[in-house]
Amino acid sequence: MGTRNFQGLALGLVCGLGLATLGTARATLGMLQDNRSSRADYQIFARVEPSERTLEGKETLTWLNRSEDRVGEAWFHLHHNAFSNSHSTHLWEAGGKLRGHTVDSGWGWQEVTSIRVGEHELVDAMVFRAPDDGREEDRTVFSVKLPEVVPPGGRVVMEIEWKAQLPRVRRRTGVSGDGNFLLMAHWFPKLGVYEGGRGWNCHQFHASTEFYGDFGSYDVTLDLPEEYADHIGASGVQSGEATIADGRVTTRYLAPSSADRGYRDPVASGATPRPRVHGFAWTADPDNIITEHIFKFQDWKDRYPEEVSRVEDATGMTPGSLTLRDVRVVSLMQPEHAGQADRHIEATEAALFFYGIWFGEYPYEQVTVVDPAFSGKAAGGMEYPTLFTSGTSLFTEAASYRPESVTVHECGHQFWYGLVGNNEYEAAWLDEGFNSFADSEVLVRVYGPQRSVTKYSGLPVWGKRVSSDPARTGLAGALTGQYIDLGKKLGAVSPLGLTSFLSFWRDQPLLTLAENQTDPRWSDRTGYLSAADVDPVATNAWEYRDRSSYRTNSYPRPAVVLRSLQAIVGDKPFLSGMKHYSAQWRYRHPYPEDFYASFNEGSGADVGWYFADLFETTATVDWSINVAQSETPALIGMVQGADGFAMVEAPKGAEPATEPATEPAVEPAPSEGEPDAPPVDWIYDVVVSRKGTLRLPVQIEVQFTGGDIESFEWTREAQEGTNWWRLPIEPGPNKIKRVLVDPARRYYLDVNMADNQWYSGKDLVAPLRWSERAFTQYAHLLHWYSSLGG
Amino acid sequence: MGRTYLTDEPVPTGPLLFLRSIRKVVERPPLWLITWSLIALTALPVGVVWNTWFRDAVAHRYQPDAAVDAGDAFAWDDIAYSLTASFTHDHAEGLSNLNKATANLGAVLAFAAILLGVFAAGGWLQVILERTHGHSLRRFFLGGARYFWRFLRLLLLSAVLLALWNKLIYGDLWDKYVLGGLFEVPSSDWKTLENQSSEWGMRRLMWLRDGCHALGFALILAWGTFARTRMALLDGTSVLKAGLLTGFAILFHPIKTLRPLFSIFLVELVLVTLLLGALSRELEDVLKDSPSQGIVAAMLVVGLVGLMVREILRGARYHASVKVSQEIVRRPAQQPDPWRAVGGPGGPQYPVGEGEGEGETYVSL
Repeated sequence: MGTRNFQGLALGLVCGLGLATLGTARATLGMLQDNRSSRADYQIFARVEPSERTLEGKETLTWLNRSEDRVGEAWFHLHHNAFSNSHSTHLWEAGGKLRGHTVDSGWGWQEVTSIRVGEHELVDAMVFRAPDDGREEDRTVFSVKLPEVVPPGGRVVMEIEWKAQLPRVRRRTGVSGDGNFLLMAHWFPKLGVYEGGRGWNCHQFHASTEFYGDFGSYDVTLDLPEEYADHIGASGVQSGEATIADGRVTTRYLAPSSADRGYRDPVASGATPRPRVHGFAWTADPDNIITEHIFKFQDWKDRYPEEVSRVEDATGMTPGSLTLRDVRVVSLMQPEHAGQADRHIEATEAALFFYGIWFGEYPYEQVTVVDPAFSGKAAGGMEYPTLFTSGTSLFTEAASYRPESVTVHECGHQFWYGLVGNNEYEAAWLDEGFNSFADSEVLVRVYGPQRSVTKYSGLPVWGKRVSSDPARTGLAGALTGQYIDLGKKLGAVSPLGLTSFLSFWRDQPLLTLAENQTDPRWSDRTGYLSAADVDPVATNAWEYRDRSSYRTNSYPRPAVVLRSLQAIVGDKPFLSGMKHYSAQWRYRHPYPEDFYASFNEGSGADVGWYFADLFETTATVDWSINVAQSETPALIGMVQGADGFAMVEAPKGAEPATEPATEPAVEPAPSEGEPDAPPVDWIYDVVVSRKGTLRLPVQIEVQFTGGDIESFEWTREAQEGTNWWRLPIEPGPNKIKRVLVDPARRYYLDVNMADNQWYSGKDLVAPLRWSERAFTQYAHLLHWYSSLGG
Repeated sequence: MGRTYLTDEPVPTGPLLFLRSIRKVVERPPLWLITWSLIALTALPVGVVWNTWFRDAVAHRYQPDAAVDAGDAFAWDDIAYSLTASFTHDHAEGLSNLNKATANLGAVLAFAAILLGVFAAGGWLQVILERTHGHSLRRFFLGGARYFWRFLRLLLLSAVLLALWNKLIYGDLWDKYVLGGLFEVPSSDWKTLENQSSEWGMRRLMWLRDGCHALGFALILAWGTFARTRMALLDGTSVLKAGLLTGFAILFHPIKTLRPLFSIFLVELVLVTLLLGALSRELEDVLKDSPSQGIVAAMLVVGLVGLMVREILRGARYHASVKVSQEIVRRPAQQPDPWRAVGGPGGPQYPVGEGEGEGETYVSL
């Protein structure tokens, strides 16, 4: 072999070795196709003075660059600065009000006092950024240039010190009104997410956005006054014993826990198999009562064996092979709600079970549910990694879904957002919508339909008032004594202005209220239709037209779209697709296109058109059915025969019956002496129509009085270029009894379902039922008014 | 037995007066049947409007007779028991218009009911005071017309008092002196009470406020009942004078005046609110599994029976207030009734009969 050949071989070997090394490194470091799943590990120490609402903290942040870019700066969130003044982006967009409160006190802020990388102090090089709205007063994002570029696969260690004024809890985080309860969320300087090819994804804290962070680990030590000992809850698990000295208690938490860091997640297929988290929250309240229970899969499997079988069958698992790990469920309850601890735990475990079998097991050893103090209730209803806040009240029942609904939903976020870490700024619907879909499915399976209550001074009575009160404005209000406007100087008076106790007496609720039960899945439809055509679902969270559009498009609309997707692909492919997506994107940051691709891959279906129509546009659909039927009219007139035209007269008897009619058509009786009249065929005119640009394949079912059923499908292709279809039904001896569009009720998208069905008869019970309720309500209401007169 | 001022008959006003009053009113079915039917007829237009709307909305689009099989997919739209989320959404505009129409109609009907109440109060007082043995209905209508304008003026005075009370309890004074002064709630938390360390703390403050208002409201209504009775008893025309004197009367005889009314309230609470209410709920449960026109009709009957009981108890309130007033209301300082010995027109008058004696049941038109 000559020198040239040797050199070529050597070069080839070197290149091959280099590629192999790079591939190994990429596999080792988890550098996957998404180019944006870096790792951030935090070690934090914080000293908190609740009475003064101050915090001093230090953190050591180790960031591993898993992108393919060389990164020369770091961007951070300082979320608490959203509550620093009325001109922050958060408060500006919220109109100065948070959860109904005008924020004019209880301000909070964070100030970084030191950022060091090695021996370089960088605090003076901090630059505040406003990448979304350019608002200079907003200080929730800053960047700092790093002394050295971090190469792909490289690490940087940053030591950060900061001090903070903790806000009064008005949204999610801070100290309660009475100064005892703390819920600390996004409370430390938190790194943004670097996305290869895009740069730092570090949005401002908007009124309608949540969070986005890199997966990693947390080692957090909290220093609090001694009264909080044994009353602290946090992400992850407590490590070691708390230390009490000099009136202070020091507690350490690891998230994930030590045990979890060594646990191999059986579900994660696209990234590291070791559990990670992307945030850390904690709570403390000297009054809370802590209860624990171990979630055991077998207990729930015994209750819902068919559900487990369904999932195993859908995903091709061996029967009996599906299992979930034990999880310790810890509840921190307020003393007055201690009796509801079991309900919180039950709802949490329901989420762990159903979400676990549908989307993959919860991989951590513990989850914590927090019942916020009354004076800190604005912290309720929010999710953080392995810890979430619920929210309840006195005098509730499970059937009213409080606190069950919020508990299932927030625990569900451990899966959507906690494990599959979508960008909540730019695609909030990827977690909120998916979670809304799943929590409705859990609630209806475990608790049945939701029952409405009417509260009288906090005391609930089942049911709702049917009809509205007498008008109370203008002359009507004056004549009925409800509201009399006496002008600017005297103001308005309400002689008969009602309070809760008087309302109870006026309403006589046991006698006059009507039961109201709601299937949460259909409530999702109602939510979707509240703003069906304002914005596409796939919109940045802060760019929806208004908060209503944000809520509709992030929560119920994606839920409805997913639910209806099952009608397109079928139950099994749907489940397979969702599970595949969940497994593939655990501990990673998916965007909508990642979900579309992953779902198609997992389900084996190609529903890109569906995703494009439903998530990327504001297209809607409204089917309707119209039915007419009549007996075949007799042949009369001049009929040509062998001998030419001859007159044919109408046969004696009743006029041909036509529908729609309120009474069944009466067949004329044969005259005496005449042979029985031949059976008359019915002819049918059944037309299904579509409004809206959305074309979805839909079934139509026609049932006849004889019991026969004919089914039709109006395909997508057939709908192209037309918005109606006359069903090809041959004349027959029986009348149509009913016609149903989408008989299995798989679609939850139709704008108006009142015209999706037709019956030959009329329901008499419902009109009587609701008019009776309205009448009885008013009879007693008027008695109350008459007793005021005398 | 208490001392009487205006009659020589013993008038028991002990703790069980309310039972006697209820019995006496029950013995006059034409009267409470009239008031009951007038209220029911006043409410009827609402029922008619709702029935008409629902018949049109339901038409051929909802499953007939709500005969729903278990697990039937169409159960999603069974509206005989509960108005589903879908129905409520799909008919949102229609329901909104229906409710607006009901609200407007309801205001007119409520005003009519108030006037009916004014009239009925006069009717009850006329019949109770006259102790008629016949022509009760005629006397009822006579009394209603006779006292109508006086009682209407009293209604206006009552409205003023209720408005003042409402302002006192729910206005700035309560916030400043009770919440801020007594309970040290900072002004920024007066509306939400979020400085309270527990929901119970908040709830107690709310109940205190609501309870004070309800109590005052009830006292004003009780005062109105006795003021009307005084005016009828003395045939007075001055609303202010009657109101003032009634106020003092209640102040000096709180137990005697308020006990029978409170007892009647308890009877209403138990019979109507709780017992009939529970029965209505049972029927609702039956409706869930077996919706039928019969069950709905039964619920209607229960509601009407409840209304009937309430009308009876309203009459009983006036009977009790008359009996108490006859004991505590002093005759005006004037010459004794000159006709007492001589009798009215037509010569000396002799007692015709025992009137409302114990054990007698007398029914007349």
